[in-house]
Amino acid sequence: MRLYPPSGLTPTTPQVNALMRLVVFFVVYFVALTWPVMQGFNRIEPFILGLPFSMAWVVAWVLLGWLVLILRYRSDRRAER
Amino acid sequence: MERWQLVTGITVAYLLFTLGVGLFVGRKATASVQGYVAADRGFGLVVMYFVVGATVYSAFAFLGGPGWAYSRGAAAFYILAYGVIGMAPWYVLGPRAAALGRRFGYVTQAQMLVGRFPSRFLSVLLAVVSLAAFIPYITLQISGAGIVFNAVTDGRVPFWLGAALAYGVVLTYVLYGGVTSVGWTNVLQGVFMIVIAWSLGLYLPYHLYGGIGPMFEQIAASRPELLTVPGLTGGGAPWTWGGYSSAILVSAIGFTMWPHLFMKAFTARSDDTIRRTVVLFPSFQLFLIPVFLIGFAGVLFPSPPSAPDAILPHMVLSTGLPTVVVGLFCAGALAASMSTGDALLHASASIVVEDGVRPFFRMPDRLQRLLMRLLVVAVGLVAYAFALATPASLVRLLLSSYGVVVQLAPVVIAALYWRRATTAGALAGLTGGTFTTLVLFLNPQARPFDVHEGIYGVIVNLVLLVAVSLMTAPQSQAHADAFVEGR
Repeated sequence: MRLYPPSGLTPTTPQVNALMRLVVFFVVYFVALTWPVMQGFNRIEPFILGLPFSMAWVVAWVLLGWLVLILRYRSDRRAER
Repeated sequence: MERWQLVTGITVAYLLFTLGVGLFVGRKATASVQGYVAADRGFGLVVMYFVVGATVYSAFAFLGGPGWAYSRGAAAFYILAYGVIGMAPWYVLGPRAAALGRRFGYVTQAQMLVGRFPSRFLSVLLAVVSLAAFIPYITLQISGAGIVFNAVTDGRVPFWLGAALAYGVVLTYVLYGGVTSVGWTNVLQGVFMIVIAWSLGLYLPYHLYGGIGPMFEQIAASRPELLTVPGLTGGGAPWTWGGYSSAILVSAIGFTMWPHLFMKAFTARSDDTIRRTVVLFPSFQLFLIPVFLIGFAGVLFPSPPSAPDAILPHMVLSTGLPTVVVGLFCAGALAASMSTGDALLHASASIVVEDGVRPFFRMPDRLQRLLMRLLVVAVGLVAYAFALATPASLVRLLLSSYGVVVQLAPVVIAALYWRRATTAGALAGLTGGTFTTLVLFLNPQARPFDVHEGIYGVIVNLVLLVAVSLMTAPQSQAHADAFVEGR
C-alpha cells in the first residue's frame, strides 16, 4: 500500500504547489459564498431549475468544489502510477 | 389495524433490523482496544463514506434543516455552504493523521496531539473539551428520536419511551460491536436517509405546488425575504452578514476538527480510502437540497406546526401520504438521529478512557474495554436525562460547542505542520482561545459585527500559540521531524 504523502519523504515541489492550489481554491470558494461577494449574487431571479438564484449559486459552488476534488484525486492517482 | 399501529410497527421493525445488522457485523470485531475503537483499521470505502455522511447528518439535519428553511429561509444555506470546505482539509490531513496513527498506535485525536506536545494536562483538557461538546450533541439526537416517535403516533408512544427504545437499540450494538457495528449500521441508515429525503423533498413540492419552480415563485410573491441570504433570525428579524458568514467559517473549521470524525481517520483501511471518502462526500452534502425543499414547502402550508423543527413530521402527517410512507419517514428520521448518536456515544467513551484515564493508570486491554462499555452506558444515561429535562438552552449550547471545537484547529495544524511549536504554546493557545470563546459566549453583545465567538477565540489562540512557542525552548529536531514532514 502506497502512503500519501509518502511518509518520511520530503514532499516534492509539484506536491506543495498542488496543495497550495487546493488551498487557494477553497479560499475563493469561501469568499464567493460570504460577505461581500455573495451580495452580488444574492437575487431571487432568474430561477435556475426552479431554484431561486441565491440557492442555485450555493449549489453550483458545492458542485464545483466536488469537481475540483475529483480532478485533484485523478491527477494524484496518475502521479502515483 | 389503525394507522398509528402500522406506523409504530414499521418503525419497530426498522429498529430491530438495525439491531440485527449491528450485532451481526459486531461479531467480526477483534476483542482488543484497537478493534473496539479503530475497527482494526479495516474500514473500506463504502463503510467510510456512510460513516462520515450519516454521522455528519444528524437529527438536526433531518428535523432542524427543514425547520431552518421554513422559519429562517436562506439562513439555512450556510449549512449547504460549509460542508465541502469543512471536508476538503481531510484530503490532506486525513492521510497524515492515519500515517501517524499506524506508526505510533494512536486511536484518538488527543493521543496524536499529546504525542507531539507531551503533557498529561493537555490530554485531560482535550478529553474534557470533547465530552463537553458531545453531551449536548447526543442529547439533541435522543430528543429527536423521542419527538419523531411521539409525533407520528399522535402522542400514543410518549417521548420518554420513544427515546428509550431507539437508544436502547443503539446502546446494545455499540456495547457489543464497538465502532464496527457503528460503521455498518451507518451504511444502512445512510442509504435510508438519502432515499427518504430525496423522495419527500421532490414529492412534497410537486404534491402541494405542482413543482419546485411554482413553489419558489409563490414564496417569492408572498415571502421574498426568505429567499435571499442572510435570511432571518429565529425571531423573524433579518439576520446579519457577519452572523451568516462567520457561521460558515466556524462550522467549516469545527467540522474538520470534531474529535469523533477525526478519529475515523484511524479506522480507514488505507489512505486511498480516506481520500476517496473526501472526494465522494459532496454527493452526501447534496442531501441538503431536498431537506431545504421540504422546509420551503412548509412556508405556504395552510396550518403551522407546533414548532419550526416539527415542520417535516407535521406535513408528512397532514398531506394524506400512505401510512407506509409515514412509517418509513419515521424510520428515516430515527436513522438520522441514531447514526449520529451511536458515533458520538462511542467516541465519548473511547476518548474519556484513552485520553482522560489511561495517561494516569496503566491497565490491561480487557479492563479498558470494560471501562469504555460502562462509559457508553453512563454517557447515554446522562444525555437521556438531559433530553427528558429538555432545557431550552441546549440549542445554544450546541452552537457554542462549535466555538470550543474550533479551538483545536491551531493545535492540530501546529502539531502536523510547524516544527517550532512547543507544548507550552499549544497549552497557552488552547486555554486562551477556549476562555475567550466562553467569555464572548456569555456576553454576546461584546462580539464585534455579530461574528461567532469561536472566530475571536481562534485569533487569540493563534497569537498565544505562536508567541508562547517562540518564547519557549524548541522541541528536539528528531521529535518534531517525526510529526512534521518535509524539509
